[in-house]
Amino acid sequence: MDEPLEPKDDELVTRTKDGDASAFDDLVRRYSPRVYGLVYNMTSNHEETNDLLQDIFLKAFRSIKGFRQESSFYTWIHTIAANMTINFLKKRNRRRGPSLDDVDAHIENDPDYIEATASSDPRREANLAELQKKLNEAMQKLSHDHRAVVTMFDIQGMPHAEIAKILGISEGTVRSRLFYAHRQLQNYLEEFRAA
Amino acid sequence: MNELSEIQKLIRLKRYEQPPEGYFDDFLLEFQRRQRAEMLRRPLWQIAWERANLWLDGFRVPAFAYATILVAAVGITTLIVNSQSPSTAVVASVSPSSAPALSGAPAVPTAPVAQVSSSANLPPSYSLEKRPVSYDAPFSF
Repeated sequence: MDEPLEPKDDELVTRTKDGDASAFDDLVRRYSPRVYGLVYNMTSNHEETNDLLQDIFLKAFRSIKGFRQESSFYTWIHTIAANMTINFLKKRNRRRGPSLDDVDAHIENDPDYIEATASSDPRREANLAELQKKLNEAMQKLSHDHRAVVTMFDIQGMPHAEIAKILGISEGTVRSRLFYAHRQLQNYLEEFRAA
Repeated sequence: MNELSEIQKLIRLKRYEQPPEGYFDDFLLEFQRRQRAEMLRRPLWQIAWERANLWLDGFRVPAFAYATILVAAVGITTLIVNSQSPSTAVVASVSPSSAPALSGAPAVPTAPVAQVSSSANLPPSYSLEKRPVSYDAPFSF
């Protein structure tokens, strides 16, 4: 069965540079869920994420002629997203309350979720909403730089090398930030840790 | 299971937090609206510049054409510079009256003639002193 091949990122970038706006629409369609995940997990706020995501893709569209394609579009758009989100968080003087997305119902089948919520220890008995709230609170207690690394590595599953390229730091710095962030998260999420 | 991997497993549960269904379709529509609005707001000179670039892109200039143009430019520049070299630029002009006569009398050096511009508006001009090439009578027998 021959399925039509999707155009590669490079081809879509070249077509966008040549003035084909629909090619950039394809890039938005392809990358908006991943970039959304990065921004949302750093802000813990759906409305702020929505506004930032629009700004990120508009900025990318405006600057695409200057994109020399020395890195992949994936790295480039994530770099723009990470920088804009960190700048936004630095300037945000008064934090809005969290505005959390709904949790997909499939979580209830996840063994890690079952392990975290169901226990003979009453202290660890928690419902889904409580776990989500605690996880987001813990994330928000991290510094912006640490949160970015945890989001990309632990939630989005990116390799160290990719995170290093996106943030413009060494792989060693990525590892040390992760180590430090995990230690902080252990303290915040003490009650969910196995006895 | 060590403690760090336990924390990672907990944090990883955040990937189940998802925006409402259909969010990304609406997001794209909103993005297109803002993108088109921004394109319409662009200054006129930017649109004109892009169109000019597109028009110029239509001309397919072979790569060697640039080299030919460069060589021609260098050649023309060399010609111009050579034609204006100092030996030819400063020409001692000798008027027929100041030329040594063939009468046998020694040539008398002529006094420099200062040429004064009649127009006061023009910048001051200078004329070279008109001297004979040699003070010796060339044909003294």
